[in-house]
Amino acid sequence: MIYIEFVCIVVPLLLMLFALESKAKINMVFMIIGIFMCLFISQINGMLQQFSPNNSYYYLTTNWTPMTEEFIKALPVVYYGLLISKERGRLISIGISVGIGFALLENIYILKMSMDEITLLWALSRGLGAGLMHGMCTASIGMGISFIPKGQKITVPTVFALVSAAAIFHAIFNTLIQSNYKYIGIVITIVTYSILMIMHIRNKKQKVSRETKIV
Amino acid sequence: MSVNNIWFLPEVIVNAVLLLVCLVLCICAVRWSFKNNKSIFLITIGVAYGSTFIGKVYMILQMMLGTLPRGDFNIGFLGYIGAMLFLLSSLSGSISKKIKESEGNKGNKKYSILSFCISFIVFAFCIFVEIFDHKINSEYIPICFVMTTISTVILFYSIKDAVISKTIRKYSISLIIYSMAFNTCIIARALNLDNIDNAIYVISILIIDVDSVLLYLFSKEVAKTWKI
Repeated sequence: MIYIEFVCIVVPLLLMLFALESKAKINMVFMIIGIFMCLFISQINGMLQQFSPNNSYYYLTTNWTPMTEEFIKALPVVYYGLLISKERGRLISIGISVGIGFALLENIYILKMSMDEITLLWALSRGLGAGLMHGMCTASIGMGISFIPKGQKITVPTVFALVSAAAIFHAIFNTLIQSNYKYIGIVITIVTYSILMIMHIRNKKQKVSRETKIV
Repeated sequence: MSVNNIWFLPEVIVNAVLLLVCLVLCICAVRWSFKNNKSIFLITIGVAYGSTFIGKVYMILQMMLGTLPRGDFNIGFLGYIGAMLFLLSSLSGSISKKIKESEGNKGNKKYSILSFCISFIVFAFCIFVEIFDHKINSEYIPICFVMTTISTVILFYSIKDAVISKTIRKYSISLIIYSMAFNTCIIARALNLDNIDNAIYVISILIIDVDSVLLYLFSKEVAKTWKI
């Protein structure tokens, strides 16, 4: 079923690619890559469940899948960051695109799985929570990569460390979302996102004021 | 860790202190580095504290929900691994470049061999204890190996740097203490000696608590001197 969902989402997006300008096109391509990564990881997670203690879905989603998902999601960002460009803004937007693409297919898959319990509130919280969480985790890896100077041997440990930190944040979200405190999980992602946005806007304003001073 | 155990409360206290220390130092390091020309060295140190903090938060959350897998792998360990990798990055990045610039390659090989021998002995001892104990589950052993390996690599770099460069000596010594205390922590979890293993664990976490603060202070000194 997930293959059909994948085709339904990706085909219109691919057709739209031709209508987009270069910058938006790159983001869209990475979003499609994110959707593909979700399809790919769904198969791996299915295999991993057999090895989970007592076939436990909870153990799998709070300990193993955050690691596999973050690792796979990081690959396109790492590839872009290490081989193409280290521009921070670009890496962050690419990271968010991959994460949002990933969350898109994941949300549709979960929606299909739990059709009977769905409400508008569920959809809103899922869309905000998972979308922001996946986007932020991959964006933070992109941001971290932009700090690594070119051609240094610290690249590998730093990338692994970034993936570890993102995986734990993901695991905390998954734990909260499956507990009685699921709204705390959503609030945490919204608060983290808001803080990062405020910092980003302040940084931009400072940059603009510095540039105007120089002029 | 049962509630009947007399070391239960000290364990909770030292871990809570570590959680707080890591949060405060993470904020301080990142704030300081952004105020002072975006010092990447200190950002790396700050993110290392952040990684430990987030790992501990996960463990506490799972404990509160009563779902922390005992003896099995839990993702909170990645917090320690991430922190160690960030510290390793801080050592092998701009620092090694600066050491080469200021000290040259004098006796580098000799000190490398010396630090390799010491760290290899530590590594062999830790692995020996981890393999031949009967307390931890077999699923937990690989993660112990990974943590021991990374911490030993840090030990190797910091011994070498402590001998070669004066500027970084204090920082390297505090890293040596951090790495040794971390290894002791893992061994304490692997040993089976009534209450002595718990006491060793508590003491080593206490050392990590204090050493984390020193590490931050010394890394700030290094960042100021070398402007990295």
